[in-house]
Amino acid sequence: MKVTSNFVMRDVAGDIVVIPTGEAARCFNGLISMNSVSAFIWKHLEACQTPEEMLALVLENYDVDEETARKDVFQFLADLKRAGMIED
Amino acid sequence: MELFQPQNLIEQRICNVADMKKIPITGALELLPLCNMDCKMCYAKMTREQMERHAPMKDWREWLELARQARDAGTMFLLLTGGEIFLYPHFKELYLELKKMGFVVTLNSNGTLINEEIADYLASDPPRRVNITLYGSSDETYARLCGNPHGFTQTTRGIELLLKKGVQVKINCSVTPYNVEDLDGIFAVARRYRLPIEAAYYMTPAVREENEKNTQHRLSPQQAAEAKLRIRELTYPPTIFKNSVLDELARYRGFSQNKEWQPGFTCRAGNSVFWVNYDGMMSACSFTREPLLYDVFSMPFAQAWESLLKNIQTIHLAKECHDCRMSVLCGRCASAAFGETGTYEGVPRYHCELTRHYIELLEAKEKEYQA
Repeated sequence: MKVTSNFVMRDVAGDIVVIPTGEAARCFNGLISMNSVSAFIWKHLEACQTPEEMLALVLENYDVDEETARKDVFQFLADLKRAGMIED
Repeated sequence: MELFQPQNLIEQRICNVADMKKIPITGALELLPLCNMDCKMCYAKMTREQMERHAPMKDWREWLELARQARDAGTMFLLLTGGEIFLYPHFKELYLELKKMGFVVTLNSNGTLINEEIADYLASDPPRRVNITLYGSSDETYARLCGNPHGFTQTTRGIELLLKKGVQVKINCSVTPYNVEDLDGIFAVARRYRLPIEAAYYMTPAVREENEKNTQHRLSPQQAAEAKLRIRELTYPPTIFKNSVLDELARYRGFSQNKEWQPGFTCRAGNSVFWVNYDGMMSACSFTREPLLYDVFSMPFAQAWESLLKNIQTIHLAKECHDCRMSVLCGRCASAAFGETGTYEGVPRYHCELTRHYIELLEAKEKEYQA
């Protein structure tokens, strides 16, 4: 999975935010705030080929049951894709 | 006037945390002191000769390196200002690089130089917004105040170009004796373009010796008080304006100082906001001077910021102001104290008079409402 160009992640005053730039900023000229899990997923997008790989990585790193993680990870990735922030 | 106004709760939280942790979250970079206009009340502009005698402009790549250091220290929001920013050599390259680095960038401009090419590259990676100062509602006013008989036409053309390309614009306005009669007209222009507007009724004394006579061209404290009230009246719907009048009077009458008199500034400047002059000197805001100046191009950014924080904590603003009942309605701050009196501890009497007259105006309004 790949982050569409034009997004910069930054840790600012304890908040992890994604800032759209370029074409993305034309559609949304604000900040996207992330919690620690969503930031973890964002940082590892390029390392995972599929949602299943990302799920495995989340399960390795967080104390969470598979059913909950699957639901949340898949939903988050679908949201990112729908918003045009990632591509396969 | 705040350098950056948080747009939502996330940004508000980030700024509040930065205040508490003393993170330099917002910075203003004065790229140059040169301007294509010649406004009578300007506190900062220099001619090219004056500038070259004092210090050369920094190269855009030097600003980029400074920005990298500021980013590493936590800076998120940047204001690019001048002078007139669109006169700065390689402005386009600097702006686009700062955007790529993940800064939220706001621009200050007089709008007169904005053309299709500028609007296009701004639209390709939009700033948070462009703050355009509107000095009047006619070319005649621009001629009188700014020495530019085509200024109004040029500025509105710039605004229209930006809006056509989808770039967000806010109108700023500096009220002086030369354009106070245009105040309603300036607000009408903002309404016509459906733009937010912020008007300043107080002009700070010059920060550079070249502009020392600028206070001859500002409103008297009484006129400034009248402008302050009129600005509020133009900003809010009648019911909200009426409530704000009554609320301000209630706060003034119920004043009781329960905060301890502590060192430091009363705003975000020097807490989470910094300013860098075109010559590379960092301070808390554009109006603060010695002993709060650090050459941020000769020392690491983080070191300059730490020194600024440390030094501000040694400064007390006037105890008289802290205890004053009028303080709840007074716009004085560290820079006003320094600009008006030459010391941070001084009492800026201009503000005392302004606020006293403002309260009289509020009381007159209250009587109107009671009648």
